[in-house]
Order: sequence, then C-alpha cells, then structure tokens
Amino acid sequence: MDLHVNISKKLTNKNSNEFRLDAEFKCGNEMIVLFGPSGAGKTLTLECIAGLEVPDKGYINVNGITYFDSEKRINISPQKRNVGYLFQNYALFPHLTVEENILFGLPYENNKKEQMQEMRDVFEIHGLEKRYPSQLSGGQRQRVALARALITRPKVLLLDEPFSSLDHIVRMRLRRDLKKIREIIKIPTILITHNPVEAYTMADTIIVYKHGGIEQIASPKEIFSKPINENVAKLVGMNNIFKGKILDITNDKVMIQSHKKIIAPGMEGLQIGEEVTWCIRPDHVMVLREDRSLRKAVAENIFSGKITEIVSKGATYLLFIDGDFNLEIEMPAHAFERLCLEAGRTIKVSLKKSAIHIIRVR
Amino acid sequence: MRGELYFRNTVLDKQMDYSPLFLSLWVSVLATSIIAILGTLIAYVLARKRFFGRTMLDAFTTLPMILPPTVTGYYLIILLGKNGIIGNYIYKLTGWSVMFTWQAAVIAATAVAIPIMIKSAKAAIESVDLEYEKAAFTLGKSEIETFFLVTLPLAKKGLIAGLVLSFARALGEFGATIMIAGNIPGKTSTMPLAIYRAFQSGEDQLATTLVIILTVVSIAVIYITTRISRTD
Amino acid sequence: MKTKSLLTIFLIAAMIAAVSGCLSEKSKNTKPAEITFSATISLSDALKDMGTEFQKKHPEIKINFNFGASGTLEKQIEQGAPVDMFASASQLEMDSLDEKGLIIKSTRTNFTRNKLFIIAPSRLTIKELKNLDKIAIGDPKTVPAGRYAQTFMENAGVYEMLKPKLIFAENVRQVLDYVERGEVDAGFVYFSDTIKSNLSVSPINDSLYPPIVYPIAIINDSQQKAISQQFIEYIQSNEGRIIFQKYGFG
Repeated sequence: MDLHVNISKKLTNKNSNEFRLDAEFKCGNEMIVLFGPSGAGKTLTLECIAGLEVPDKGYINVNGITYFDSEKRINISPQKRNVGYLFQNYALFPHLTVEENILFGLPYENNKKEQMQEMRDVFEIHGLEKRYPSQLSGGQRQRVALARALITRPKVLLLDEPFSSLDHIVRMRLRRDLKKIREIIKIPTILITHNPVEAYTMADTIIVYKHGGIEQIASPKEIFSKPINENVAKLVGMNNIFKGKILDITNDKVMIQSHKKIIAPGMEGLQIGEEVTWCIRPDHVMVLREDRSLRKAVAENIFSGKITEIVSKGATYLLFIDGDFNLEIEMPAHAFERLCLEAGRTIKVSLKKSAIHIIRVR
Repeated sequence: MRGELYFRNTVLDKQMDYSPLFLSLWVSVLATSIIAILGTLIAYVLARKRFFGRTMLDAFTTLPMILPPTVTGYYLIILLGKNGIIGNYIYKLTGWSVMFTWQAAVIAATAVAIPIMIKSAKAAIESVDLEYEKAAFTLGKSEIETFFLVTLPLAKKGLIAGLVLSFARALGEFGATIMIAGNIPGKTSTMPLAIYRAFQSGEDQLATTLVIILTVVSIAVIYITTRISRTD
Repeated sequence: MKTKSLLTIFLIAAMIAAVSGCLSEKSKNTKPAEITFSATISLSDALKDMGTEFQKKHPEIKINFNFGASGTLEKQIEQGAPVDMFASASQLEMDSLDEKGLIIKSTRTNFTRNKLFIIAPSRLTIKELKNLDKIAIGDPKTVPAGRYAQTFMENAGVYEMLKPKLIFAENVRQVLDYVERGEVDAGFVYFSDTIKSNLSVSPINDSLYPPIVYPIAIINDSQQKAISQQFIEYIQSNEGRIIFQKYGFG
C-alpha cells in the first residue's frame, strides 16, 4: 500500500486574498498525521486526495493507481476513488438512521446484512441501528461515521480532526479504537490534528504544515526533539528559543554566544561565527536545589533567574523566569511541591546540554 | 336563512358556470408542476454551481417577481405573440399561436410564480451543509444521486413552502394572464379574470360567489399543505 | 454607512413630495377650472381634438378625458368616481346610470352615430368568416361594440358557428390592436376606428343590428355643471360636428 502526493493549488477567496498550497509527501501503510495551525492547508490536502478539490497541478497516486495527474489530464471523480473520509463534524445524514447511514456507501449488493454485522461488532454499535444521529452521543457518532467510511473497504482513510469536539475520556477511547481498527483494516491513514499530544501518540510519521506548505516530515520523536525551524519548534512546544553565534567548536560540542555562553551538542557542518537559533523544551530545564551539591553531569549551562509567574497544569507546573535567559520551565507537580517555590524567588536552573537543539538559520 | 337561499340561487343555479374554477385549478396545478421541476433545477444550479453569467441568471429569474405582472405579460407577448421573437417561428412551423389559449394562461402563471420558488428553493438548498454532499460523493454517490438522496430530503421543508407560495401566486395571477391569454369565458377565463369580468358587467352576485369559492379553495390548499409539512 | 445615506435620500424625497403637495394646494386657486369626462374609447380621437379646440377658446377651463369601454366607465361612476360627464356607445349604460339616479336627466342627449364594420388584412364576406381561426369582438358584457357584433351575428344566423372562434377584447380599440398585430384574423369595429388603419374594411348589413347612437349626460354629483354644459353645447355645435365627420362619425 503506497500513497504518493505532490500537489499545488491556489485559492482566491471573496476578498481577493490568495492562498497557495504546495505539498509533497510519500507514505506506506502507516498512520500519517498532518499537524499544524488552522488555515495551513491540511484540510485542503485531504480534500485533494479525496477528489473533492482539484489541484492546479501535480499528481496523486494511491497503491499504484493514479487518482490525479495534471500532465496526463487524469482526474478520477471522488465517487470512484474509494477513499474513506471522516469529516470534522462527522457529516452523518440527519434524515437517515444509523443503519441507513452505514449502508449508504454500499452499491446495491446482497450481502449487506453480513457487512452490517461485521461493522456492528468491530465498532460496538449494537442496538443503535434504528436510532438517528441526533440521538447519539459524540463518541457513538464518531464510531458510526468510521463504520460508514470503512464499510466500503476504502484504499485510504482520511480523518479531519476527528477527536477535536470530544471530551478527554472519549478521545482516549477512540484513539485506542482507531489503533485497533488499523490492525484489522490495513490501509494508509491520514489524520489531521492541531493537538501536539495527539500527533505525538498516534503518528508513525508527522507532517508539519505551515501556511500553505510543509515544514518537516519525520517521526514524532525527531520532530519533537529536533524541529527543523523556529515555526516547528513553537508548534511542538519547544518554547525556549534563542538566537546566538557559534563561538567555538570542539569534538562533540559547540559553544554558542547568546546573552550568555551556552554549551550544546555538536552538529555537522557548523562553522565558527555562524548565526544559529537554539532551543530547549520547558521540561528539559532543570531547577537546581540550593542545598544539593552539583554533580558534574548537571554542571552545564547554569543560569539564574527570578520567578515571575507560576501556572498549574494539574499534573505539572509551569514556571516563567526572567534572568540571564527568559525561560519557561515545566516540572512535575510533586517536584514543584517539594521545592516550595513562589513568585519573586530567584532560582538557579540548568539547561541540559544534550537537550539543546540547534536550528541553522538560512 | 339568508345564507342557504343565497347559495341555492347562485352556486346550485344550473346556469352557474363552474368552468373558471376548473380552469384555474388545472392551470395552477400544471404551472406548479412545471415550477416544481424547473424551479428546483434552476435553484440548484444557482445554489451550487459557479459559472459565467450566474448573476445574470439570478437577476433574470427574479425579474418577473419585481416587474408588475402586466409588464411581464407584455414581454411574454413580445416573445410568444404571433409575430413574437419565438412565436412567429412556432406559427410558421405549426400554424398555431399560443395567444388566447389555456396554454398561455399556464405560461403566464409559471412566469410570475417561478421566481418565488427559485428564491425559496435556493435558500433551502444553500442551507444544506455542503459537508453532507461531500460525504455522499466520497461514499460513491453521483451528483444526481446525492441530490435526490441527501440534498432534496434535507431541503424538503423549504421546497414545499416555496411550492405552496408558488401555487397561491399562480392561482391568483391576473395581469400577465389577461394580456397573453385574454379573458375568454370557457377557454382562458380563470377565477381572478372571471371575477373581474363579472364585477365589470355589474353581475355582483356572480362575482361574490366566485370570490367565495376562490377563497375557500385557497384556504383549503394552504390548510392541507400546512398539515402535510407539519407531519415531519 | 450605507443605511445612513439611504435614510438621508429617503428623507429628502419625502420632504420634496410634501413640499410639492403644498405647492399644488396653493396653486389650486390660480389653476383653471377642471372637468373630467369619461367617454367610450371609440370617441377618443375626435374628443381629444374637440377638447384642444375648446380649451383654446376657453383657457380658464381644463378638460381631463378618461377613455375606456362604456361598461367599465359606467361601473366606475357607480363606484363613485369623481366624473363630471359621461358618454357611452349605447343606451344601455346610460339607462343603467339613469335608473340609479346618477345622471341629471335633463342634460341627457344623443350627439352622434356610428356604424359597425369588419376589419381584416383583406376584404371578407360574412360567409368567409367561418374559414378564419380567430375573430375579435369587444366583450359583450362590457363593450357595446361587442354587443352590436354579437347581435349582428345572431341575426345573420352565424353566431353558433363563429362562437368558438371569438376572442373577447376589453374595448373596441383593443379589437383593432389585435387585428393589426395579427393575433387574430379579423375583428368587428366601428367605422370611426378604421379611419387611421391601413387594413381592409368590409361593410356589413346594418339592418341586422340596432342603430349605434351615442348619448351624453352630466353626472349628478358634478361640481362643474355649468362648464360641462358648455362643453356639451360645443360638441353639438357646427365645429363639433365637423370634427366628428372628420373622424368617421355621423
């Protein structure tokens, strides 16, 4: 199973504002997440793959079949592409029952009953068949929508922010369901989300979108620890971003001159005097306890700062400090409580060398 | 009772001509049937399609609603009269002219009532979320199938409302009808025209009888269609 | 912002309307005396000429004409239309107003005559009428010319045969219009209506329909009885008669 997309499309809206999308990526039978801010073109990409929108130029191949090729003038209608599409608001037909909704996409075949039975089991919707969408809960609607999309054995599954309107528990359950389904129905799946946790937990590959284009394609781990530029860094929550100049390069580390000197892991191709941007995740900034002696491993990049704000996120706390660097720190609640910190106090922090990521400025 | 006597003397009078009533019903039902198909089609195209000349089509189909009916009638004569732009070809080919025929009454009723249907139907279709139609496409249904399976059922209320209003307008049509169909008793004298003719010639009793019949029929139609649309 | 400018335009228009209303109120005192004359449409050309001549002689008098089918005009007067004089193309309408006490009996008089003719693209005999597709006559219920035509056809024994071909018009000028536009194949009109037309005129036996005599009278509620009487006298004068003859009456 293979999906190869390379498209370009320009849109002009009522106010003569132009939007241009350029997207290219390849994937196999995996879960791809399109991740990025609203209006970046993620939904448009999905609609082009489904055939609901036509790119200006490019090509779309699914499992060897060309859905669209502007040079060869091929454009298969959405009806014939056999994609499973889950819309943001599910688009369950309000005037049809659950059963009628699910069977909607099937051509007039005889084995409808068996297929319906299969769907009922997989999606656990027993007893709901005669109900109308307005009588279902959010989670039930989601599952019916999935059943409807998958009963036709599509070649690729497209989901547009499928979990955004659901509460936390339901969301977790559906993520699990989706993973379970993918083990049974093995097709490339593309999911759109702007939730970084969702992207991280569900994706095999993440494609990060910016306004009209793709910034980075990589595994979740790589995206979240080695974002390719400042935009992506902000998106994945690497909120401590600074500029600096390479001062010195040794074997496996470099020294950067920003406000203060920073020691960071070495990177190929860096040159002395080069302007770079470096960043570190809030949860990799360690608050040092005053009474503990500093171990060598921790004795890197030590700075001090005054706490300006403390925000509780339930399981973690966010600290904002102003000092040599204005930093955002995230720490587990138990650690915070042990340290008895409060706004106004000056603390020392350490930026772990291995957690610092350098972005080369072009 | 005065009422009974009055009724017996006019409505049950053997000389009472009921042809205007049947003519009106026939013309209105036929016009509404044409409007149901043509009006919905135009409304769908205006609601869902983008093409060159779209605004012009919209304006052109709204025109008979804004123009006084006699003006619409005048334009119909220019178009369909014996020497009309289209009419003269029809006459040359078939030796038949639409002027002063019941077909002309149907055309006049259709022309003035169709803008009402188009406006209602367009709004009703636009109110159907595009996502439903897109979902139907991804599930393999063609545009026509989607229209009948998804769009139409979801727009039903607005479409029915539009048809009822169109029927009412067709039933009461006067100005364009009298111009292109004339007011010929038994042939093109619909209820509104017959009432006018009776009134003009001083036949007040006849005029009143016709008015009562028309009012009762209109109320009955509105009542029935309201009940139908409410059972959803 | 758009609503503001619309509102402004509306207010200005309303003010202009109000002011011009006031102005016309004021100038009523200096305006000429007006009379309204409802007359059958077949008289329109002749009466308009007479009106012009009369007003030249009497610049302090203004005559407003209201032309239509005799039956329609009679109905308007019965409904209370503010009309000073009425002339119809047959006695029926005048009799009706007389019965209802709406005219001043002493002013009722006959002032001219007319004859009925067939008008068509080419000359026709009565027998040839049956070959035609559509024939226009005035609606007998409201148009005297239509009644005369129907009476003629009944007396000539051709009414039943021609009945399905008949197209009713609102007034006799509309009959003429239908024939000229080719919507119908022939029509029954007054001689006076054929004067200006280029179509062929075919005579019919005038003993088969009642004589066409035009009565005129002053309406009971008229506010300008004296002036109306003046105009009636003018119509019946030599000058008036010459104009009538010019237009095919008499």
